[in-house]
Amino acid sequence: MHRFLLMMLALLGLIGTAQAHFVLIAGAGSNIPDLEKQQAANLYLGKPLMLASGVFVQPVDVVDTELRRDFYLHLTSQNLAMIDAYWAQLQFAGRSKPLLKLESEQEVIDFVRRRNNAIGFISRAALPKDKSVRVLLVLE
Amino acid sequence: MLAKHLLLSALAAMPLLAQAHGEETSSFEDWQLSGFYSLALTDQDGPLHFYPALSQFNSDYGSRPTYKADSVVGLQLDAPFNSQWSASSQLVLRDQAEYSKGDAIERLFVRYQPSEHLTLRAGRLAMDTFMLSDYRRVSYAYPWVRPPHEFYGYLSVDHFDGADIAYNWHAAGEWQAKLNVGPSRTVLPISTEGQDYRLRTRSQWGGTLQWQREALTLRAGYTTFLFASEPVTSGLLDQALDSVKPFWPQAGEIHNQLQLKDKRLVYKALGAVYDPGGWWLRGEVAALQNQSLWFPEVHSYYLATGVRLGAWQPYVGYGRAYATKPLLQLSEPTGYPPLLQAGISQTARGIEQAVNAIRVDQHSTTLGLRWDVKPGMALKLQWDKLKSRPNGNGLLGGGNAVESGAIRKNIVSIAVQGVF
Repeated sequence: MHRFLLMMLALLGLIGTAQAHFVLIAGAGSNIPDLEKQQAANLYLGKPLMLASGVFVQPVDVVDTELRRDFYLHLTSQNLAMIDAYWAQLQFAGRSKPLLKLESEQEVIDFVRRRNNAIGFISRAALPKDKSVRVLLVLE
Repeated sequence: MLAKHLLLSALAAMPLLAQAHGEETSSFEDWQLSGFYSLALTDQDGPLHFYPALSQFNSDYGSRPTYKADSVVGLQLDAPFNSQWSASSQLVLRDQAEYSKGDAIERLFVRYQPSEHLTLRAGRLAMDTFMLSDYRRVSYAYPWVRPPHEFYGYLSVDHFDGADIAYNWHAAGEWQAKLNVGPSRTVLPISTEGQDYRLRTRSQWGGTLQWQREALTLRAGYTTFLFASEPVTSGLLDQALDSVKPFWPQAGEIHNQLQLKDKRLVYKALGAVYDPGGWWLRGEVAALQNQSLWFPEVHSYYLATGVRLGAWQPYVGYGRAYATKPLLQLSEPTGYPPLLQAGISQTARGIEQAVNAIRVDQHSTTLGLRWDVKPGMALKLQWDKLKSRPNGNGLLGGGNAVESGAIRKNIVSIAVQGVF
C-alpha cells in the first residue's frame, strides 16, 4: 500500500524523483574538507574559500538543465532566474570570476578527477563506483 | 598612462605566476566568453526627448518608436591564470558611443586575490558609486528595463582607469570596504557646437562600504574628481562674454563659473535592498555637488518594490530628482546706449537660459512586468509616467529646442534582455 501511494504521488509529480538527490564531489586525491550546506551555498554564490595550501576551491557549474535548477533550489532556495540575475551582477560588474559551466555530469566527474581544487555537483545516481571521487556533501 | 603600464606589466608576469602555482594552473578550458544583451523598443509622447543616460544626450528618440534608446550588446572574456590571478575584458556596443575613441572597452583589468578577504584589481574598471553603477547596462540583472532615470540618468562616468582594493570580513553580517583611484574619460555629447565633449577627470577617487545580512543589504558610496577637460561653453557664448566684459565687470566672474576645468564634483549615495525571495524592496538616495554652473547639482532618490509570482514579476516604483541650486538670475548693469544695452541684456538672458536649461526637477512613476521566459532570458514591459516642473528639464534632451515649462511624458518600452 505504501509503495503504491509513493508511485501515485510520483506520477502526479508531487514528490521528487531520484534527480532531487545531489552529491557535491571532489577528486579522490583532493584535500578539500567535507562541507556544510552553508559553506557549499557560499561557494556557489561567489564567496571564495581558500584551502590551507593557499589555493582557492573552484566550484564548477553545469549548463542549464533540470539538474542545475533542482540543485540551486535545494542549496540556496532560489530559482534559476534569481541565481542567473545574481551571477550576472557579479560577473559583468567584474566582482567575481564566473563559474565554469560544463556540459554533463560526466564532464564534472572528469574535471574534479584531474583538478584537485575543484568541486562539482552531480545527481547521486551518477556517482561513480570506482572511488575516483570523494563525496563532500549529500543534499537530499 | 599609469593604469596602462600596470596592466601591461601584470599581463607580462602572468605566465610566470601561473607556472609557480603548479597543478592548480588554469588552462584555456577555464577561459570563458560570455555576454549580455537588451533588445528593446521604446516609445514616448510629449515634448523633448527622454534618454536613459547622459551619454545619449544628442539622441533624437522622441519622434518615433526607437530600438536605440535601450538596446545594448556586451561581450566579456574572463581568463583565469591560476587560483589567484585572472584577467577580464568587456566590450559594449550601444547607441552614441564613439568606438574610434575606445568607448567600447568598458572593462580591461587584472585581478589578484591573495586571500579570502582581499582583492586587488588594476586596469579599466567600472565605477560603483551607486548600487547598480557597475552593471547598469546588464539589464537582465535588475528588474527594470533600465535603471531608474532620476537616479542614473545624470551619472556621467561609467568607468575609470586605475586600481581598486576590496576587503571583506564577517562581523554580524558580511562587510565589504572598497577604495578606488584613477581618472576617467567619457564622451558626453553635450557640446552646443555639434562636437562631442570628452569628459576627462583627474584626482579621482572614491569608495564604498557594504553590509549584508540574510535578505538585507545596505550600502554607502562616495566618488569625487576634478574636471580635467575644457569647458563645454560654446565659442559664441565665450565671444559674447568677452565683448561685454569692459561694460559688465561681473561678466568675468560669470565666465569663470561657467568653466568646468579644475572644478570639483562629488557624488554621495546611500542604498538599501531587502529581498527575502518572494518579494523585494529597494531604494537609494544621492547628492551630486559640483562647483560649475555647467553641470547640474542634484538631490535624487527612488523607491521600488516587486513580487515574484513564479516566472512573473510585477513591479512599481517612484523616483525624484531636483536641483539644489536656485534658478540663475543675472543683474546686468543698465544706463548704456540702447544698442550696447541690448547686447549686454541679450548675453545675460542667453546665459540664464543655457544654465537654467540643465536644471533638473522631475519625478516619475514606473509600472512594469518582468517575465523570466527561460534561464538567462527575460521579457519586460514597462511604463514610465514622467512629470517635470518649470526649469527642471535637464534630464531630457531636446536637440535645438528649448522648453523650460513643466512637461508630462509617457515612456513605454518592451524589451527582451538576457545573458549568454
